[in-house]
Amino acid sequence: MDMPLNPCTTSILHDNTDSKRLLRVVDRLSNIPDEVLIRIMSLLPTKDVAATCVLSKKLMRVLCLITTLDIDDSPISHCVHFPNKIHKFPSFVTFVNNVLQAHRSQYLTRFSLGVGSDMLRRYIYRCTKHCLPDVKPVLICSWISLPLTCCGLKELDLCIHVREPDDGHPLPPEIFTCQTLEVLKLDVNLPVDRVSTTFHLPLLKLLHLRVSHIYGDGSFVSSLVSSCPLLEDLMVEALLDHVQSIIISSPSLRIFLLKIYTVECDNTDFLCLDTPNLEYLHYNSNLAVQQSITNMDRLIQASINICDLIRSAHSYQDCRQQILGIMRCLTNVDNLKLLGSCLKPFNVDGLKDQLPMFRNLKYLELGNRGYNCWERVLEAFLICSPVLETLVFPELLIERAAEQRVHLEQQFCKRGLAIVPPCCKFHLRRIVIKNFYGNEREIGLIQFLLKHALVLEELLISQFEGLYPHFPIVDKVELQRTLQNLPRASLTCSIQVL
Amino acid sequence: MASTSTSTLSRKLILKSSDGEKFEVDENVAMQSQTIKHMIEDLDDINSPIPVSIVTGTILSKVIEYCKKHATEDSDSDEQLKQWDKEYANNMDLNTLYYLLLAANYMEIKGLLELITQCVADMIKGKSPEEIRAHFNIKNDFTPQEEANIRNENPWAFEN
Repeated sequence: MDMPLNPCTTSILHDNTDSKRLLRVVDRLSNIPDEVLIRIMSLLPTKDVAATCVLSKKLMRVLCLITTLDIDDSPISHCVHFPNKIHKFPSFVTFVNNVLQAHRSQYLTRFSLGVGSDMLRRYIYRCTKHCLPDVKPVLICSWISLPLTCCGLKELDLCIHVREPDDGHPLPPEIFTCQTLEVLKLDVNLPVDRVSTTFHLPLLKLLHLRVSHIYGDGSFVSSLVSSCPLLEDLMVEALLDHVQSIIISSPSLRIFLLKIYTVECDNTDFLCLDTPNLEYLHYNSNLAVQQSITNMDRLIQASINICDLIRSAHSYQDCRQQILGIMRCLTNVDNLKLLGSCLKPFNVDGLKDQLPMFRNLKYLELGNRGYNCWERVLEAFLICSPVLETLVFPELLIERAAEQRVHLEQQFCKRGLAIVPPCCKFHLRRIVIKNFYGNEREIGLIQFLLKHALVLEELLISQFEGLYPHFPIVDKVELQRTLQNLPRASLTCSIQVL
Repeated sequence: MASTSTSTLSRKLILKSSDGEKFEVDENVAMQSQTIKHMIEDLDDINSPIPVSIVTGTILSKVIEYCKKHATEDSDSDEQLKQWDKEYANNMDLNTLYYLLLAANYMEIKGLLELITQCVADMIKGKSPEEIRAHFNIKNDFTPQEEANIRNENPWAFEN
């Protein structure tokens, strides 16, 4: 192809078996206009950009003009259990110094810096401070300060964990007053200067915080969230010995993920969610001892995974009231997951009168951890979800339970419901059961579901795949045969074992 | 986006490539190019061909294919459109991509420029400098000594 705008084309001979023909091949990177080349290079990790510099003078010039700096110390690992290339760390430090000193663009829009392993990795590998790089916070702070002096910084992503974070150099407070910032991700063990830091991020839309003990009292998170009038997307991940309070108040918030991991499975003292316009909620935490949650009428999807119930609670009743308190704020959802120990305190008489009506609920996942029986839970959820289309059991359908309880469940399955719930009559088309053993108790539950689901189209079952089965796993072919022979109310329903 | 107040739903424009090939396209298709949008604003006679001076017919037809797809985005979901973009870019050889990149930049078509720049960035990612040089046919204008100096200054950049 011939183009009129190739200032420096080179010619090479292409060897073709049929004929030798001359092809004009263009230097396809160096000839691209600067502004386009800067765009391309700004999409790459800065290390890759620096490596391309050696290819031509033009590429060399572009390095100091890129609008994204994306630097991390991988594959170095200081972790004492899995060390890797620690001797290369000084070379990394020199690199960051050089890149930042040479940077000339006033238009840095994104700055991402990773030093030391992130919070979750440290949690999983039980890392101590000796698993972190020995680099002075004052140096790190000087690195972070550069992008804050450029105009138009939109995205700041810092994942920084150093061995000695407390040497009197807190995070640059300008981070929290940056007028142009739209995205802020912080997973940092440098402290925040609690005395002089003010928060005001007028354009921030997304905030992802990983909070460890260094600045992990609830007021940091609440103050920061309250200072962002446009915030839409919030993730708070906390790894702490004990959480006193989580207070989130934001009328603009649409997405909220809360994940709390405490070392001793401790309960949060107080949880306050004042987020009336939330559309997506993911709650993965222990149950708070006290809570105040606002109605979230716009909520579309909610995933509630309760890791541990309240330890100090005298009875399941307190925990049940607390979980019901959360559910009553989610009644408009069309997709709901109740996982972990959520349902543990729910198998009680009169549950159907206590559950709220989920009038839009189309998709429901019911987890089962903790020796549950279904006789009162299933009925209540079917009655309170009048337009339910899909019902999923993602964890285990059954766990070990007291014989007396199992007997009650089996009797319930045999007896069935006096009145078929509306969702079973008109809507429930799909049931998915995962981690299925195939024993008598599970078959009984399936029989119950097949008997009542009048318009069911599909029953999908996948067999237990975990390492420690509580019950023997029935052979797939045999299971398929047993299930095919079960009576079902919907004749067109297909049953599949995966 | 195309806020032409006048009556007709889809006025036709004629785009003329650098090698004289003419393409008749709907106005809303052409208006995805900011450059053409500005040209039309200054144009008295909408019926005369609009010159797209640095883009050949072969490339212009590819550009128009992209603009047509994105002018009727209502019919597809974001997901489908992304998939289409991916296939569109994957079907281009390096030469075509190169000229398409220049065209998207000259014609100021934001979406196309983003698509192709990402595509080129993905080609660079994970390659050694030598592989990049061969792939893009980059001419070396450094002396061996200059090159060695750059490598010594930032050894981290050349670590795997």
